[in-house]
Amino acid sequence: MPRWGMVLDLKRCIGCNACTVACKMENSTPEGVLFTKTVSEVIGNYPNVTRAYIPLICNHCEEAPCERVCPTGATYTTDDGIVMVDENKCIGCGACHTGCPYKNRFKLHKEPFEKGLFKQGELTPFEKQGYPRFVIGTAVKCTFCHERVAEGLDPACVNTCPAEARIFGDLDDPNSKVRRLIQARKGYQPLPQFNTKPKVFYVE
Amino acid sequence: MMYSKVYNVVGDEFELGYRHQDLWSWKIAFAFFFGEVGAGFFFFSALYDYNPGMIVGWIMAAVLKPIALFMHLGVPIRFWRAIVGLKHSWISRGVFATIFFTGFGFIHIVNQYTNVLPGPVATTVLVIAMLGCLGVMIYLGFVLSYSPAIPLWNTGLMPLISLAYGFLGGLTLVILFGFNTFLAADPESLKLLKGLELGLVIFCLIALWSFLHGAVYGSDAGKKSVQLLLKEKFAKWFIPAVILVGLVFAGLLMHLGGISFAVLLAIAIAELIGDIGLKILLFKAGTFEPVISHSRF
Repeated sequence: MPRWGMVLDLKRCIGCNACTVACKMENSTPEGVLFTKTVSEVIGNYPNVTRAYIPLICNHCEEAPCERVCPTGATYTTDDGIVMVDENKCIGCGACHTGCPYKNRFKLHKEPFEKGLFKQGELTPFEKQGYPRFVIGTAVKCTFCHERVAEGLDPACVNTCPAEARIFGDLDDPNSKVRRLIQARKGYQPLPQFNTKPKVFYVE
Repeated sequence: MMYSKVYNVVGDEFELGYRHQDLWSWKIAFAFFFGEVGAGFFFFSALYDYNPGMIVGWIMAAVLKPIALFMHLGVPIRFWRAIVGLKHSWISRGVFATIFFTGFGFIHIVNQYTNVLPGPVATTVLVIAMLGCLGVMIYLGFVLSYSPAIPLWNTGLMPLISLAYGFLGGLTLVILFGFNTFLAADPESLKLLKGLELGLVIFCLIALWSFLHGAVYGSDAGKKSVQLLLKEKFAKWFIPAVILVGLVFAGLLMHLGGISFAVLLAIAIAELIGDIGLKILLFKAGTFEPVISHSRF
């Protein structure tokens, strides 16, 4: 059974946010919900200044605090290491949101579903096809596009990235690209001091 | 010159920085407030067989708290599912404590008027209800400290602060309600409770100081949270309401204000303002660390 993980190459990321848009299209997420996005950081002082682009995504932690704090068992980890939410069990308490150090959990508020993207009270065709998959009031998060992964495809963000800054693969396979990248370029995990054992690694 | 990055608190901007906790706010703060103070009120009322206090405390914790909680939940009709995660979730454990308190507290109150239960059974019911009270008072602290996500909350002091405020809120209400009733004929008990009340205020002051101190030196996000509380956005609420009114003013009144209904009422109002203020502001000031930093030098 694979143990899915991802490597984010900060040297390659150009901050275009194509991944953000691809994710939104794939998952039909409402306003305010971004399973992945790329943030920027200014480093240095003029004239010695540069900008770094840092993609953020759910880290599908081995010891996910969101799973630990969930009172209903709605948050669970699949056999292949993807942390998911069962929308039929979630009560929308928000404990996972406050429990995730990476702030990659979202609660679905009713306003976007009622007012639509253009706040006219009417949903666009895109929203009409996508919103029925959601239960208002529950928590949602990145699922590594598990339906695509089940068919042998990469997640939408990985597939879209023009700079190949996102690499997806089996962390348990020593010959996988993710494993080789982590070893060769000394991949590190975000906020390791919190001991969540993320399965997303950054390389620079 | 060494460059030291100062991060901003960011919202929806695509920028690296500290991020606010914005999901838990006043609704869940009031839920925990009613739960803690109500359980504390029941606890001390039960010690003195003060039935009206037990009834009011029970209503606060068993009725008002769930109402506030249901207002917060995204899918409140599924609230019963919250008992499932007992092995790993402090919210589930708190729900169990609430259930025990609600059920056994109700039975105890009914028994106070009907006396249908034999002695040992009645005592057992009371003990379970009191344990439920302790659970309801303390579990918020464990819920907040359970995850390392928000460094301000991730401290072993949080359960103690939660319990202390529960005791303090209950105690001020028992003294206030009991002043012209059962405490009028028992000045020794009144003196004891007043001393305990003052001791709890001092403990809360020291505990809050220690808690804020630890947050400042524990992590950058913790330091940012404390700055928000003491110097920046929330300072105009935290310092006056929580520290000055809720603890200092209340403590001074306890020590110097004499004993009259008006003074006891002022103490209770001040303390409860500080209590609910602390909960709301703890939620608002909760700050997440930036995920990665290149500029910490």
